[in-house]
Amino acid sequence: MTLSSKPAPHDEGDAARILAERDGEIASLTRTLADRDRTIAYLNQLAGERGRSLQNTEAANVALRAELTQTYQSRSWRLTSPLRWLLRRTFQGRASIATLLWAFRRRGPRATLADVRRIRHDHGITGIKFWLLNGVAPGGAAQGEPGTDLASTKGALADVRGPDGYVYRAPRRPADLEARLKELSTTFSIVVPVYNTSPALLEAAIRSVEQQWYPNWQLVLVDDASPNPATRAALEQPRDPRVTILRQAANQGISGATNTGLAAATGDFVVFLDHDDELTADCLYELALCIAAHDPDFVYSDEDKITEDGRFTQPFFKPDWSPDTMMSTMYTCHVSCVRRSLVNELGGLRPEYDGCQDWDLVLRLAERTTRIQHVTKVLYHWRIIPQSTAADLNAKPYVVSVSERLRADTLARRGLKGTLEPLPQLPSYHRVRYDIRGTPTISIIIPSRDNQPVLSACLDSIRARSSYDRYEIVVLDNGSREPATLGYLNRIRAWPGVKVIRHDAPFNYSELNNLGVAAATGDILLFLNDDTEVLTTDWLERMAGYVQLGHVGAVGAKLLYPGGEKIQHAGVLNLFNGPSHAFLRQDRNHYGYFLRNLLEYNWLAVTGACLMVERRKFEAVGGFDETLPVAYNDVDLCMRLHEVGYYNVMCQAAELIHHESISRGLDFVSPEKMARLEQERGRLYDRHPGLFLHDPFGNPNLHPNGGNFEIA
Amino acid sequence: MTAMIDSLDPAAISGGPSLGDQALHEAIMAAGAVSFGFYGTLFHRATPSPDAVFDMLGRRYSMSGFSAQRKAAQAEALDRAHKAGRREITLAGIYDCLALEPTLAASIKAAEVSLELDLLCPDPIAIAALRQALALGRRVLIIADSYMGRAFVRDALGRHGLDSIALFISSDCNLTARDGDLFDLAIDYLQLPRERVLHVGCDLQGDVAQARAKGLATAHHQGHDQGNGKSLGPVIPVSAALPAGTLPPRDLGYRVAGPAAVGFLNWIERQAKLDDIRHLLFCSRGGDLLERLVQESPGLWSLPPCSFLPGSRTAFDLAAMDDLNFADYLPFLISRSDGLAPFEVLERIGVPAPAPEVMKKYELGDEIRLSPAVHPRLRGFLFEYRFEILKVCRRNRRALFTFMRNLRLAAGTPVALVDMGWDGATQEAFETALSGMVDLSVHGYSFGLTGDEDSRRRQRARRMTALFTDTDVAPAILRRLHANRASVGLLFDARSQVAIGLEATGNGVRGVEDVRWHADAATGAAISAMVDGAMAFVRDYAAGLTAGAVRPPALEMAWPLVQLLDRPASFAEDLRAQADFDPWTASRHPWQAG
Repeated sequence: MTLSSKPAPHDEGDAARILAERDGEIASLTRTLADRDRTIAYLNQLAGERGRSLQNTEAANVALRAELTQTYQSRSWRLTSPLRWLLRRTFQGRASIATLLWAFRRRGPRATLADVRRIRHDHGITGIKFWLLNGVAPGGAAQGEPGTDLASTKGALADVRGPDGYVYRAPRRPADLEARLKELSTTFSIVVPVYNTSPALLEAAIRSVEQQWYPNWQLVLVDDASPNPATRAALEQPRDPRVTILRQAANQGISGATNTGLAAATGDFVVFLDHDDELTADCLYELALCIAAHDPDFVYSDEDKITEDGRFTQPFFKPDWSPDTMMSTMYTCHVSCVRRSLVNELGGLRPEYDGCQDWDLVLRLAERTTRIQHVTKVLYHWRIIPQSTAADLNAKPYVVSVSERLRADTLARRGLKGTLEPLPQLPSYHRVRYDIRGTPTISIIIPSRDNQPVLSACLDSIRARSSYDRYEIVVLDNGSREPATLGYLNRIRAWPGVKVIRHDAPFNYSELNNLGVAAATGDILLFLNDDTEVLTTDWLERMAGYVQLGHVGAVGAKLLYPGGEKIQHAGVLNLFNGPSHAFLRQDRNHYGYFLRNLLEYNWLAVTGACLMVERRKFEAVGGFDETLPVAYNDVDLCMRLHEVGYYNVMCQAAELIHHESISRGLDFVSPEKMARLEQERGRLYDRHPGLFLHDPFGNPNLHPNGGNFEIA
Repeated sequence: MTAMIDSLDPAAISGGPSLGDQALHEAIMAAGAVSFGFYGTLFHRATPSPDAVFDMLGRRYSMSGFSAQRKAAQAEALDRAHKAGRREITLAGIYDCLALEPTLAASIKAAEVSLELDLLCPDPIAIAALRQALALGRRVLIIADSYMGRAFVRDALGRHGLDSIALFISSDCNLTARDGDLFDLAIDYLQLPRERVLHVGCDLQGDVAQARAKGLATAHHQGHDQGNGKSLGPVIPVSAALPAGTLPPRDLGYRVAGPAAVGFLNWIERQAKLDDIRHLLFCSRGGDLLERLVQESPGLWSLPPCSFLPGSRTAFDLAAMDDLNFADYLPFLISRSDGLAPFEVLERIGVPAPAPEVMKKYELGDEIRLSPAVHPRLRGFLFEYRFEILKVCRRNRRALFTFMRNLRLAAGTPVALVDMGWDGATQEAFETALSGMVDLSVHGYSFGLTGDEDSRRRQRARRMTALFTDTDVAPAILRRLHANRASVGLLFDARSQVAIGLEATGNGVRGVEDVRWHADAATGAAISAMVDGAMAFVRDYAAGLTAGAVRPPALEMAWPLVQLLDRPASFAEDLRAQADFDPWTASRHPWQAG
């Protein structure tokens, strides 16, 4: 930097003018120097933070390594080594046996053998091991069909395959793209708040918009007073005429910057894009197709993440609109596309929820509209950078508290009472525990037959462990003959709040429960198998809190195998082979796909082994279908509730033991039972053709038979 | 067509009763048993002359001199029978006298039987009289001179729901009515006084006179071919040659597509009755026109309920695929793909393909032209990409389920799938897709069935039948039809798009078309004109039936299509190009365009 040279002064006036100009130049250069100093200070600060972060990480690593070494070298570790080996093998053996039993039961021995052969054929011995231990065939990257050179193609994809094996395959422009584009007219405004973004990442974000197949867009970049000159310089670059650059005079945070962008937006719909993320090339095209087909107010899509080295990973294949899931976690996330008029009605984003401003927006808009659509395609790549919530929610501790406050405020706004509870397994995540409204009677309806020891354990657990005492028990005796059972039934008949209804007829679960409902007096019904035992003391009020919500249909509970460690039921998935329990035999504390085993999500169905529903809703859909006497009657009920617009919920915090099928035996033991199962499944889909091979709360991108949400 | 009961001519046969409808009724009431003649009494041949059958057979087997050969063989058979002391000839005896290779002779003989059956027109008055006799509890029998034999007569009666009638047929009994001996045999069987047996015949000098001579009561039934002045011609002159040169599309529709579709529908109508079909499914490609004709011509065919299923073999194959059988379908997915760019293997089944740069990473970039050397790599890619493909498969399966479920058919219901395939592959794919999902008894009705290995394998395992088979026409004609199947398919195609998938839309189902190709405006107009022509033919055909003409045999009705194969120039150029276009093997890659 040099001062400009000037000609010699001719008189005093000239000298004064020249001096003034020089003063001006000096002032300008001083400002430039100050700017540069600030930039240097900012960069130094960044470097310092990074350095400290690195030091901390390194120190933690060293400490952990030392601890690990110490542990490995300890006598107790060495002494317990055989025990660990034995435990590992025991677990694997139990899991394998359980898989085989389950497969025999659901598919029959012959089909199971065929499955094993196919898995061996597709995935080799390792595939069979995977299947035995996990209960599902491996999805995703297979070892290839014999006679192919998949191995070489896999090698070719190594640079884009994520660390979890996932690979995002960008789509090709459809052959009829031009023709279809002519039929679409929606305009989009993509709003991007920018703050100190690395030029390379900002360029990537902008490029991802410029490369959209769909042409009717406006990109609004709002620089939120970035001190980083590289960011500012990147924004100075010449751009497509559809790009608008706005500059904030002062930093206003993400909501403020976004609202500035919204004010300049002209499109029919607003698409939110973070400054370091990317839209897929088909993003706006798919959104436009969805809007043309369904006329929604809000559209969201599946998404994945970009690692620091540019690979795609952690795809989130989401359920369709799930209001209760939305209260548990910000699952709609990206891409988020909202009708602009609705955003304006809502007053844009609210700065007081910065960090969760998008969650707040979705919760508020869901109170204004039910026209919400989900595009089951990855349309957004969320970049993982250190200190971003894409990497870890704990990276931004303030976000955790905002998320808690946000939902507490939402409850208040909705006139609901409840509390936010941290998950014991992951305290940075919270579930909603709704307070029960009033003191309604809960009728617990339990069909049983000749099952005195199991039934008495069930009733004892209810009476001993339930903290809510406004319940009645209706036992449906399906023609018991054993003296001990008859004696027990006679005894409990005298208990207060217990009714015993005898129905001596061939087993029909639906009929028994419908009779139970007729005899019950409660406004809330709880269908319970007699081979269950209560674990969670507040199970009734916890489930009732959900079931009393106007939009909720059935509420299910988490059922555990005896021992209380392995999952028997955590929600029912409607898979290719039919309804199936998710996370079967997984550990009770298993996170599940995006915390589906821990958080309260909406599911298509929950098991009738413990199913709560309000009487008015139960009766509105006609109760249990008595033409489904044994299987799928619970799923049918849930599907009917779903079809009339209710949302079914899995209350993961309410836990019971389920001694599955002790009462009636397993359904695979005879060809007749297998045939009946098939027949009832056929009848189920005949009644619900729209749900054949379709689970709105699953996702078509997941494995069609994956009970653990395996990526396909 | 009409027929009438006339009185016996008292001048010709003394003492004969004078019978009108009421008189015949009273005669039947008075009789203990009633016998009927067959040809000319209960049934008539819908041909200008008996020899026309031989001309038709000659055409079907491409044997121009067949009619003369056949007549000569009949004369020789008669001669041989006389020399051997037999009183009657048989169809087998006639064919023994034909100097033909035995297999061919057997095939033509079967075709003659089938054709004769097709040509039979029931005489409504005589049939009504027969039913009346049965209803009155009279013993009923048929006494007839015919070399066609008892099995033929039984089949003919069976087609009209007339079973369990005692048959006295000359060729089986070696006795004839014309000599009177057959009546004696019948009387021995009936064990009734002769005057208690009424014979209803058509030949005043023949069976009627002989019956009276044997002491039976008689009634002369004068059918249409006995000079009553009524026409019994077929609706169209089926043997009329097509004009030379290119046919305008509308003419092509009127002269070829319309008759072929009517012939096929006539055949379907009869076959559906035989198989007790409760629902007909017309599927793409080819079902469009048929379904439209049926819907727009109410009452013209007596068919069970019909639906158009906008699926194709591709759609059904995809609907049958899942993650466990995926590898079994790899040969189907890569079949006839050589010459295509790799991504087109996906596009042709409606699966979104990865971007060019992604395909490049699989070493299957757009510059690659598929050949057997690339197949292992392609299989590997398809296998890894299978869950994307399976999404489309599940969409098809869902839609197929929705479609079938909307039909509300009970388990095990017999349904017929009508398609223009030639080897049963579509039916096989359809049945496989339904397996474990919808339980139906599926019959396959095709326009033609080839005799190749796959076709025969499927015919052994499934219920398949066709209008054109090698039991009805010369194998060479069948081969020609098969070789020109694209043209045949085009004639039945009221749409210019090919359905490659199915998609459920609310409560309905739509066909997913191959978006890569669109017929140009000229071709679209030509197809539209062709369909208009076919519709016009059907209107004229319906009017002809109303005026009293009879339906010709289905195969004869469809024969102009065979004639068309000898005149490839009959297709206008744009239609020819459309017919020759195969979207399964066509590439939109620049190298093809060049």
